[in-house]
Amino acid sequence: MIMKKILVGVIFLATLIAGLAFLPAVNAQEESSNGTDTSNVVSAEQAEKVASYSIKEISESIVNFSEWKNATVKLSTVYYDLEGKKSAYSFNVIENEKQIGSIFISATKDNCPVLEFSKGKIPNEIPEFTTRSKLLVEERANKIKSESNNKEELTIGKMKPLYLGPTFYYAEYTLTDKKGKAKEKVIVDLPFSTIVDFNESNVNVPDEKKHYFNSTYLQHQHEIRKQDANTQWITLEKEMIDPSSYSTSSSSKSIRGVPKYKWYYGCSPTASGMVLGYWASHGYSYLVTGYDLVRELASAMGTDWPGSGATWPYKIDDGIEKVCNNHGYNNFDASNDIYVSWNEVKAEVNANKPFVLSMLNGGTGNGYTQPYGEHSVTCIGYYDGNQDYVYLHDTWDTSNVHYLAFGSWTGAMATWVRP
Amino acid sequence: MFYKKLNIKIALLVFLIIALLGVWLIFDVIPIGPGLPPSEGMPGWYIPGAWQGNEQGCTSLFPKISPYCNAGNYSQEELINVWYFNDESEFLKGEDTLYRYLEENGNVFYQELNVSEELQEVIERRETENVWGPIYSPHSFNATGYKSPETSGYFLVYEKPFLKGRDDYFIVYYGVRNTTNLTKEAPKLKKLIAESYYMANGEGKVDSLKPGNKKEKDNILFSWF
Repeated sequence: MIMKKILVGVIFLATLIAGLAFLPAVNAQEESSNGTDTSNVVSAEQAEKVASYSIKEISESIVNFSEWKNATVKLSTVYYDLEGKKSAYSFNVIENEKQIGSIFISATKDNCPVLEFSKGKIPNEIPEFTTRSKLLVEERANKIKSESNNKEELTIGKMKPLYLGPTFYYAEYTLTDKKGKAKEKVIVDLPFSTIVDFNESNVNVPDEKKHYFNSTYLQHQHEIRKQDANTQWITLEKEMIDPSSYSTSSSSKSIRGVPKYKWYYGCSPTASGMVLGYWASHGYSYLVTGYDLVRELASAMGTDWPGSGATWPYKIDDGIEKVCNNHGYNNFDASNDIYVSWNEVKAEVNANKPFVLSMLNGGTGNGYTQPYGEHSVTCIGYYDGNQDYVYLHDTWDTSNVHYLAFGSWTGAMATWVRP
Repeated sequence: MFYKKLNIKIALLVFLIIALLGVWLIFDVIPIGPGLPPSEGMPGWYIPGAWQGNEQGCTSLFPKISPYCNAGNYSQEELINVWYFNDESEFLKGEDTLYRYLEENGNVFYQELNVSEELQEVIERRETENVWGPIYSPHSFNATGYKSPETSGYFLVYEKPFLKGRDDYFIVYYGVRNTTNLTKEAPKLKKLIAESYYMANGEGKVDSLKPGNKKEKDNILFSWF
């Protein structure tokens, strides 16, 4: 009997753990459908204080954001979730009366305080996005009219901005009939100018992976995120009352001299190439660089090229060591670490050792609207603050360092490369 | 009571073992890569400055031939517009629609463009920034020129620039608004093309736009050999 119970438990737990690999990066509807505690509501005034404080913190800590040092913030948009509860506030970052960026603050303490920030414009302030969304809704209203029996004209209500997680911006319009009765709610994905139906599908999960999901697991994940967010708010509020605590509680570091390689052959050999390219200019000059290095790495780690460009994670460390050996360096130790911790990341960066970070369901780096997914990048730095970030050379962009919230992935493996 | 406590301990131990093994197994069964942006993010690949926020919605100067379309503006007049296709048949359909639209609304011609000098400048500048990008495609290629009162410029088609086994097609327009004097604008546009071309990958093919019937003819001719 005991054995049977244990066996059932084992199967259940195995399902939960396997589910870890397939949880999508953001499931905004799950977030909102779990409800928000009203005691955790953040007012616009509170959010503005957090935004003002956060832009200073960002300017002092994150590469390329120093111009935010003396900037101010101005409330732009109040966003809602699918249940009509406030989900976020967006603020324009203003310097010398010019908009130089934007920051989104959560409207509930059940989400982390700073949801996202960038140098770009707030989607709701981009006329092309809003105009197109209106056109789409007009098309929809006309379609409903032409399909109805009485050909009744529908009135399009005011746009309601929706924010369902970082980079998930929508506009909701209510179509009403002559009696003022709501006929349909139309939700438009602002950046992609498409009408979305959340009833149809709110999660982009392949069919073969759907059985990994269960409500217990999602509820558990939600609780963890909520607790984590609550802690972040408490820490932030303490820091805002006593700013002197900020200097001791946050820190950042970037490794200088790590090259930026554009994607070639696959992300894993490219990301590994940047690590070895760094060492090639730091005393290991027999290592080749650029094209030759990436090609050699792809071959050594068995990257499927010119097929899918995919690499088995467990072959990344062996491939790196093999290439080092090929060039006469037997002292390189490359090792995969699938339980990578924040302290390990900081220690490695502090020791000026860039490393490969391979993610499953990787989140969205700053400046992007699409998540990294299954992707290898080169980690070159960190920001340790209210929210921890890793600085990345991500193989997509060779002009900028991108940063990503630590832990915004389902699973991550670090490949430490230590000469 | 003793057995109950023992059961909890066993369950916890089993949970720990499975958690550790589970993560280990996950990395053994899921390959990483190719690590390219999803289709929605692909247009940005050929838009310099896309990741710094210089990426906007598709221009309305041309028909909507792909749902994955974005543009970048480089001055009041200069622009790059990129249509991305992840399916060959959609690409051929889109290319044909675009070609027919161009023929109806302006003057279409072919021109060989040589961007060697401009590209060399970009490569040297990026090398000083410790950047490497794979440039193994030709520096001279056929482009489709287009002249109309609203805009004039060049179209390039990038076919399968990443992996032979993947359907990735880009139609890219490098143009200037409100002019038909392409000769005057060509030096500026070649610089813009070089910046964007640097972001191309070493694989695949770079070519001009082709209407559907021209492709059919090419294929028929090819079958003779």
